[in-house]
Amino acid sequence: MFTSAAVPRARASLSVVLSILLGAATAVAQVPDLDALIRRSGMIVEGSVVAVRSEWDASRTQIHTHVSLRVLALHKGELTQPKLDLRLLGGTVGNITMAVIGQPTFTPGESVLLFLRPDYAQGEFPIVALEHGKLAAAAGSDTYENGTRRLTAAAVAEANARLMRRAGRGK
Amino acid sequence: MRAPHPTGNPHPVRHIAVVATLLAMPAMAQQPRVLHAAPQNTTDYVLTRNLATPGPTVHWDLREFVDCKVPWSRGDVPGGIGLAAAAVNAEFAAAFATWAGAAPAVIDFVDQGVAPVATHGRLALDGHNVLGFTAAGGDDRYAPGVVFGGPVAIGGLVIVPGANGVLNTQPTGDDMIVGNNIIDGGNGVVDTLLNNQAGDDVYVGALALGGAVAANAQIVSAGANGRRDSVPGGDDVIAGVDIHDGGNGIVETPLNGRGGFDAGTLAVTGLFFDNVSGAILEADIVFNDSVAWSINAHAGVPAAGTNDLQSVAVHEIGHFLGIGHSGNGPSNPAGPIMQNSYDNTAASNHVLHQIDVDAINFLYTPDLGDAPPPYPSLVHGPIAGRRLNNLQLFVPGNGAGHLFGITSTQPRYQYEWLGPRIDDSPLECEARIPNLDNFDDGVVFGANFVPGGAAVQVTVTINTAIDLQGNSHPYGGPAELYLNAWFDWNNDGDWADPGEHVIGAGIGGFPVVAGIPGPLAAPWVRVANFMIAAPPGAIPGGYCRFRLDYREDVAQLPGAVVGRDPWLNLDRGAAQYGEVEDYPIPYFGYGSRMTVPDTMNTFNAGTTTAIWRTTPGIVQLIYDTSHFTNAGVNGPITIQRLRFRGADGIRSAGGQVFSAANVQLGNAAVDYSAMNTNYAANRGAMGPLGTGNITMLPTSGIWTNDPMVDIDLVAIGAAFTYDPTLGNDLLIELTFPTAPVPATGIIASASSASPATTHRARRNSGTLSGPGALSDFAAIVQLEFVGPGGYSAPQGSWIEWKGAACGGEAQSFYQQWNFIGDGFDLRGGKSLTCIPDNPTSPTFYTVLGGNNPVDLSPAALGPGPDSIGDDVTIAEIPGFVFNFPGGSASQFSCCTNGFVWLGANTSTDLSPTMAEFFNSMARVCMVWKDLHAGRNTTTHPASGMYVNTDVSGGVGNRVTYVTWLEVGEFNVSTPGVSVNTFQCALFENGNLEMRWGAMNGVQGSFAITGFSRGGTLAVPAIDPGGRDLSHETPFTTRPEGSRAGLTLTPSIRPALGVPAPFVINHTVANVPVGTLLAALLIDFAPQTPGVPLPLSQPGCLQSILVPNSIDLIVSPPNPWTTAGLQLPLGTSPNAGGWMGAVLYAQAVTLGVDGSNNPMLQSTNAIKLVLGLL
Repeated sequence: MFTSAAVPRARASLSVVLSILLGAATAVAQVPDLDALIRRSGMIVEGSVVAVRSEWDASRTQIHTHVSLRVLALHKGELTQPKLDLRLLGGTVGNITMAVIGQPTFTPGESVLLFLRPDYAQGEFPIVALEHGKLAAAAGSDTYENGTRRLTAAAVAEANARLMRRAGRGK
Repeated sequence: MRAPHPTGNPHPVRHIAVVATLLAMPAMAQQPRVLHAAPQNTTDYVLTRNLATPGPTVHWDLREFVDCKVPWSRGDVPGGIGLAAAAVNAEFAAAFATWAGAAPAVIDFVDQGVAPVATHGRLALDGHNVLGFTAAGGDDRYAPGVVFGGPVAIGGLVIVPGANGVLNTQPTGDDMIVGNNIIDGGNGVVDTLLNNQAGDDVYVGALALGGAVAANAQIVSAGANGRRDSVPGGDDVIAGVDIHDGGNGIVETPLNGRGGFDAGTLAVTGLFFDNVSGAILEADIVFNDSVAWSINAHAGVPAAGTNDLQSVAVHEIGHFLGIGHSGNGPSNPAGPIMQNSYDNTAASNHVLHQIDVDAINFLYTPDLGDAPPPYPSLVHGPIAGRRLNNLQLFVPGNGAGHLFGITSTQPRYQYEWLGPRIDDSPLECEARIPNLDNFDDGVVFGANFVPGGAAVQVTVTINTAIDLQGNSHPYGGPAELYLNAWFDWNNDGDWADPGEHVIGAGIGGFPVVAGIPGPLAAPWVRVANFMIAAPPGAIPGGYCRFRLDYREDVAQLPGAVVGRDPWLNLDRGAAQYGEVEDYPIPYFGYGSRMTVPDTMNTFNAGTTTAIWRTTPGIVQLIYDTSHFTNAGVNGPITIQRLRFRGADGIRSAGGQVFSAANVQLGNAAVDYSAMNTNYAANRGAMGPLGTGNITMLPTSGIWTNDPMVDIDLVAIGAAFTYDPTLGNDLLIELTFPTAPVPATGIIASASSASPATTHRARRNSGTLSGPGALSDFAAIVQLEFVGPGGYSAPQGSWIEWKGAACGGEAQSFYQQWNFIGDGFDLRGGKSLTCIPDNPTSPTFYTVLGGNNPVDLSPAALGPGPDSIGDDVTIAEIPGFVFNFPGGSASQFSCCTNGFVWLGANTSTDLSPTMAEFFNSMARVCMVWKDLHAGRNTTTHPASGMYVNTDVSGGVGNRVTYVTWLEVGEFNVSTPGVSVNTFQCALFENGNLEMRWGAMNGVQGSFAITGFSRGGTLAVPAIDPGGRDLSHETPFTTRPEGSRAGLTLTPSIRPALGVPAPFVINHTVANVPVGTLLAALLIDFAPQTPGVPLPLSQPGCLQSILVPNSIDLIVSPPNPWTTAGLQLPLGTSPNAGGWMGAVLYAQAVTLGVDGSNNPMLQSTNAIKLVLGLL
């Protein structure tokens, strides 16, 4: 998986607009920064992984993993119930693993902070920027981290509030 | 609905999570025993480390693939990306070629044509590896006419996504949709009829998605609440009427990508693999067609807003191979291709960084057994297995194999621990050629076996101390290494009979000496002697197999090695790490191999293209009987195999086929010296005629080179029984009815050169109708035979220079490369920084070793390339004076042959010699040899020599860069086979920096790396003696004086088979005045890097480990020559068991310094590999 926030040349005018809107560099994107993660998210949740289940599709050509979360905090977006189900491409069934490079993986009991795409319920890549949009907290820690970032939920909430204020509207 | 947590710090959650994690642990699957983590810090970017559950390395099982070629197909290329399909496919092919070119990895790829995206383009297990784009994958498409940009209203319809890039509606409060009649049904996404569900959006009319042209055109219109949203200022606008729903029911924008990709995801690779064995079943790569792609040269910067397709393709193919991300951050020409992100404002990266090469070498460089069938050596079974991309694969065979282990930092080659050398042949894609593994070097037979005779000492060297780079591996641990050996005493083609498992199982009661199995201890080298006797009924002709493995102990788990390879059991199947070496069991009076001419085991005296021709024709070769009698052949032998050696030092891709070639051996009717141009006149009693296709093999370009042709005479019915004692010379005749296909790219054959007394062979060749033409350039051929004489494992002898001479008063420094046995190890980011003592009037350099990468930025490269020619020198006037020890230069003369004159000089000097190094103009030699700047322009379009002076730093900070980018060698005619990148940076402040990048292919003839302060024929520069520049740093040169370095030189190559006693004289030159004592030290192992010698001046190093032999002299003369190495060798065919033995020598002198204090000095060290001429 190669990620980049660099924008297409053919849509340069859009890139100009976005660069203003997002307030972040649009050309270089080793890893999306926190503001970009928040902006690209339709929902930001803290939760605990309740169950992880993988299965073949009906044609036995793809494996999808279903992740059930108990939502403990919601920092962006709306939910009617404190739970969430995600469907991700990839997983392991029996001896066969479908590895989708960059797709985050989940472990039951894991404490996670997720940046979810607005259309997370429809697709099979529900996490913003794939592995960069999932952070996990070690037992006893209030800090979430992945290979590239360490965050507290408070920092996320604060950043989101700042972005909302900048946009001139709050939730 | 749950409100956001006010503090974002829900502590109770984490307490629960802890419990859940603990409870989950027992349910985790037990890992098979074989799946140990590799010792030390093995690559963590091989995918096993990146998966949540540690397991085996994820890799293609090359045993399934003919010639190790993994198939791939190309998906449809959507027109919308603006690139032609042919161009895209060329980029994909180039990206695969980049990985295939990594050596010594053997994996290759085969393009299986187009596989339509509609049927095979998803990340799915559908029997095809496909590289394709998202467009035709069933998702949304934006047809022409849709505009992305500022607010535009067409026909009154304006759809405005908000900051999150998705067409949301109220009540999410985010995006605004303006126009007529679009109503959100509650999920916040603008849906189409395809995903319309109860309670969701309602489509009534007025807004046409897809318009009238699309079959799935749908009408979207307002729902029940009739609310119309307003337009936020400054947001994006998508306007138009031609939005086609691709099937997932979501109207997507560039920000949320298509094909379900996140907007910033350029491409995704999906791998299906067996999580027990790690074997990849299938891999697909999908590129995001909603971003703009472009095609650029390596190091070129893509046009604004576009992404370089090949950079991304090379990266994704790395995943395709089972390689994960090597780190965080963007990939660029200075870094690994497998970094986890891409920066489209930076230079494109089409080449592999050393750690990328390490990763593929780790996964795809097998060490295989090579005993001939029916021994379990073939790893490609004959049984048809699954199909992939319409290509028939095969069920893996039972051949013994091991993986290399290569780490991301030095040392790289870890687990090939049998023998003093860690090396391998890139030809080991298949163990179908017995003893193709020329590097088998871990076992020395002290004598030949006699059935029922006395036990023979068999010496096994296990060496974790020294690798290809000369680095140490201080690895130990309880019972981590296991050695097993089998001897086929009854010559029935297997090792399954009682008494044949000789080492490891205790059968036969042979003692285990020196603690094997068991942990190694410092100095990490163990030489173990086993006393082994052939049983009375032993039948000559069988093979033995030695197998060293890491932790698996193949002998202790008969039939029970879990899962990873069903064949792994004792002498067969694939283990993860270790080495296997097969040898014919040497019996007294029974050899199996020899080389004709018999003086050509190490060198070729000439080369010729007249044997393996590009046209139909006939070749006759006659070899004198003396070659055979010298090798101990004193009776009839049956010649079963011919291996023609490629010209030494030349790499080749092979693959050319001579169809229906005739091969026939026989007794020559004439003496070699009286060969006739008439073909028939040379034929005496001929053996059977064999006919078959002959396929040229790839050669690695080592010295001596690999076989370019291997002919199994038994297989084609042409085995011939020959008896040199009857007086007839041997005739080998080859007939090629047609030209080879293709008739290009065939390298020269290694050959003899002089007639009569020296090489005793001749050639007659020409057209089918004849007559032929006579030549002294006869092929060098290794014969495999059954019968008396010969050698169990013939190999050449050679000398390598190591360590560093000390004591010289020289401003220059250098390393010379013979490429015989040793390889060019200044590569992969290694650098030397030379800092003058005084910038304005320097007298010496301080030379620091480092890892400064080649700078491929536009500032360094300039607009170039400045030359893509052969033997070209480019003048560069930097605008500043470059001061160096010994002089100054206001012009650089930059030569395509790998060096820079420090001054005005038009010489292209393609033949390096040490004399010229010292008596010519001052110069910096990166790798001075016969290179070709334009050799690879077809495979590496940006290749060439670049010369540029960067003046952006202003006066005082200017720097001239001379960059040899992806250049080839003159004698490697196939583009893309030898690809080398290196750079010389000359700074205005007098600093000199030498940098080496990927040096994929520098082999062959002599080369020099270093700095010469320059001299003349009358007054050459002082010779400091050679230095191992990759290991013996830092060091300082000295102000130019009059004394050369203390050097050690052997008198002859250590060639065996000469009359006893075997003696090598060693000469110590430049012995300091007042030396009281000198000593020649000889050992079996080096110490690399050397350690400072006590009581010595700086730079004097001890470069051997523990002297096993010391030859002392009081008040030595200058020079001092001593017969310091005498071995009790006779002229027996196998040279007393010393074939392949490696010795190291170094001399030290003891004198007094100016204050009458004792002072030691040391010479360079010498590595002596004992073999044949």
